[in-house]
Amino acid sequence: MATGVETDRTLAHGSRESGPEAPAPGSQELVAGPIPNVRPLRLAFVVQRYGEDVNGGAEAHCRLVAEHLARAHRVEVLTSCARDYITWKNERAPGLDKMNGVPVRRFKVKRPRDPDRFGRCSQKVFLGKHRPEDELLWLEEQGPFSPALLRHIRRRENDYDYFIFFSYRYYHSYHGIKAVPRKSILVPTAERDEVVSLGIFRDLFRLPRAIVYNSIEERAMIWSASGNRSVPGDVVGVGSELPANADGDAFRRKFEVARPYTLFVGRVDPNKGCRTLFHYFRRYREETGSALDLLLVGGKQMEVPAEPGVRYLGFLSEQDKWGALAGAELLVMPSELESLSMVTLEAWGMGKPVLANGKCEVLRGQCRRSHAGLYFDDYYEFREALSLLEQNPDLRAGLGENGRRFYHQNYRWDVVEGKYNRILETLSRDDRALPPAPKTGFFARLFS
Amino acid sequence: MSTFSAKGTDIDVEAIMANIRRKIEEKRKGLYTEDEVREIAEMKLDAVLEASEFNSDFVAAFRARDEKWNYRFDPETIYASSHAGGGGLIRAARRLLNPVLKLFFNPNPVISALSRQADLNRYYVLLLHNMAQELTRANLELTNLKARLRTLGIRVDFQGKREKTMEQVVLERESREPREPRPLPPRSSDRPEPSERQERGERTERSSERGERDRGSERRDRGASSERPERGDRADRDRGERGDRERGERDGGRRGRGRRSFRRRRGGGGGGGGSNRGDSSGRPPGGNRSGGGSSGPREGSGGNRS
Repeated sequence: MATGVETDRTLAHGSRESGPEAPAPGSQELVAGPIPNVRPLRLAFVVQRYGEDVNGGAEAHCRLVAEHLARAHRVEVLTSCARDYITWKNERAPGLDKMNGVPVRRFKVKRPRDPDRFGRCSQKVFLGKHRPEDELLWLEEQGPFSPALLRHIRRRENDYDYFIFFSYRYYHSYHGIKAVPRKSILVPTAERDEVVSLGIFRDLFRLPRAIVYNSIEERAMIWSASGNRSVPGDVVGVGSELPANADGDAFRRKFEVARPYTLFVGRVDPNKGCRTLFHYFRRYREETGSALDLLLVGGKQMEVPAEPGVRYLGFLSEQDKWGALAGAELLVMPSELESLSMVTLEAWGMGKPVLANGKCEVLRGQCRRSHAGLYFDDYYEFREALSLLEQNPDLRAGLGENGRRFYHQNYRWDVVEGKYNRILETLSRDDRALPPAPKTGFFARLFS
Repeated sequence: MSTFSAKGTDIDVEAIMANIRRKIEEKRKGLYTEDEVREIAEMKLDAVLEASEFNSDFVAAFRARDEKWNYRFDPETIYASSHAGGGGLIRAARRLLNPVLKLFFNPNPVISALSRQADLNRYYVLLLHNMAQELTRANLELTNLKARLRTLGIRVDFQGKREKTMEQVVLERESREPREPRPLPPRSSDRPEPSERQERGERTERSSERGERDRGSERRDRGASSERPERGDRADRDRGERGDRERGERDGGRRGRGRRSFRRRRGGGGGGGGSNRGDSSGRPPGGNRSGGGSSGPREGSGGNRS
C-alpha cells in the first residue's frame, strides 16, 4: 500500500488555501503519483438499486462510476430487483441484464419492508437501550433483504478482483463487506444522521481494503464515528459530463421565463429543505420586493405553494435541465443532509454560484473551499446572501468562475476516473506483492 | 454558457459571510418594528408546531376559523339537532319536554357555564398570542441589553487598563526625575503653596493632637497624615473625580484605630496614604492618582512605592 507518499498535485491546483479536497494528516492516502497505466480488473459494483429511472443520489453515483470505469475494466453490477427504496418490492426480473453496456445482475429481495416492524426496530435502536443484535435486526428490516445477492458474493468471490460497495447503511453492504473484506472497497455516501453512530457500522468502517469518500466532511465524520484512520482512503466524489451547448435563452423561450430566477434542482421534498425554502423565499420577496423567481425542477413529494414567483416545472429532459442551469442567476440548495450534492457540482461546472444550506457540513465546506457559493443558517442569512447575490452581478460571476475552476480541478470525469484507477492499481499492486493465499479445501491442497 | 469577469478570483466567501453576519448583528441591535416582532413570534410558534409534526398553517387556521376549535353556546344549543330533515321536529319535541327535564335538574347553570367557557377560550387564545409577542419582545430587549452590557464591560476594562498604564507612566517618570518638591501651579490667590500647605496642615494637626493628647512623635506623624486627605479631598472635589472614593476612605480612616494599626503594621501611611505624603516623596498632594488608591492595601502599596 502506498502510504505517506506525495499526494497528487493536480488536486491542489488553483486552491488558494489547502487543496480543495486535500488529504488530511495521518490518513492513509491511496492517490499517489501520476495516473497509472490501467491494468483491466474484474470489478463488481454492489448497490441497493440500479437503473436510469432510479432516483437516488447514491444509486446515480454508482451507475455513473460503473459506466465510466467500464471503459477500462470488466465491470458487473450486482443489485436487487427493487426500484422503490421504501418497499423494496421486486419490480424487475432477476438475472443478467445489460444497461448502457454494463452487465447488471439482479437478485430478488426475499421480503419487502414491513413498515411496522421497521418502525418498531428503528424506535428501539435509535431511541432506547439496545444490543448489537437489535441493530442487525434493524438492518435486515430496513432492507433490501436479499440473501441471494450475498450468496452470489460468497460463492463467486474469485470471479472478481474487487467489490465496490455503495451506501454503507444497507444490508448488502454490511454483510457483503463482512463476506469479502480483503476485496472490498466501500463508497459510504454517509450523511450526518444517527445511523452512522450505530455500533455495527463502527466495526464495518474498519473492514474494507479502502474507502472512497465523497467529501472531506464525510471522511472526518466517519473517522470520528469509527476511528478508522488506518483504513486507506481518498476523497473522490463523482464526476459530471457538462454539455457542450447548454442554452439558457432557449430554455427561457421554451418555458416562457421572462424574469431572472433562482433554480432548485432535485426532489421537492420537506426532507430536502423545500418547506424552509418556500417559507424563506416568500418572506424574502415580501420584504425586499425582489423580482427574482424560484424555479423548481425534479420530482415532487410535497405541495408546491401557489405563490407569485414560485414555479414548479417537474421533470425535465437533460437538455432542458442544463438550459435551466445556464439561464439561472444562481442555484439554491436548501438540503441539510447531503453527502455530495451532484447538482451543486454541476452548477459550479456551469459557472453558476450556489446558495447552500450552511447547516449541511458538506455544502458549507465545499462553498468555503471553492469560494464559489454563499450559505445560510437562518432566514436572515438567507435574505442577506440572496440579496447580495441578486444585486451584484460581478459577485455572481466571480463565484461562478471559482466554481467552474473547482469543478474542473476535482470533479471532471477524467479526474474522478484517475482517482479510482489509482486506488485500484495501488490495491492490486499490494495484492501482487503478497504471497498467494493458501488454497482452501482438501482436494485443492492435495493438487496444488 | 456565458463568460465571466476575472474579478471573481479574488472573492473570499468566508469574508463575505463574516460581513453578512456583522450586518445582521448590527440590524439586530437596532429596534424592531411591530411587524418584525410579530413575525419572529410566529416563527417561534411555527418551530414549536413543526417539531410536533403539526401542520405549519395550524396557527393561521386556528385563528381564522373560530368554530373549528371553539364551540358556540347559547340557550338554544342544547335543544338543537344535527338532523337535516327531522331536526325541526326534534328541536320542538325537546323544547316541549323542557319542563319535564327541569323536574330532574336545572340546565341553566350548565348553559351559562358553557357559554362563559366559550368566551374564555377565545380570550385565552388572544392572551397567549399577546404573551408570545411580549415574550419575544422581552427576549429581543434582553439580547440588546446583553450586547450593551458587553460593550460597557469592554469599555470599563479598557479604562482600567488605561488607568494602570497611566499610573505606570507617572511612576516611571517620577522615579527618573530628582526627588525634590515640585510646586503646584497656584489655583487661587488665597491658596497657600503645597509645601506650605502641608507644613501648615501638619503643624495644625500636631498642635491639636498635642493639645488633646500627649502622644509620641510617630503617632503624631501618623495622625497628621491621616488628617491630610480632608484637604486633598477638597482639592479633588474641585477636580470632580475622586471625591466619593476618597470620602469613603477618609471616613474609614477616621473610623477606627484598628484600621490605622493595620496600616501601621503594613508600613503604609494613614488615610490618604502615599498619595498625599507630598512632604516625604516630593509629590504634590492630591495630584497623584497612582498612590492614592481607594482601598487600604492599595494605599499601603502606594505609600511603599513612594
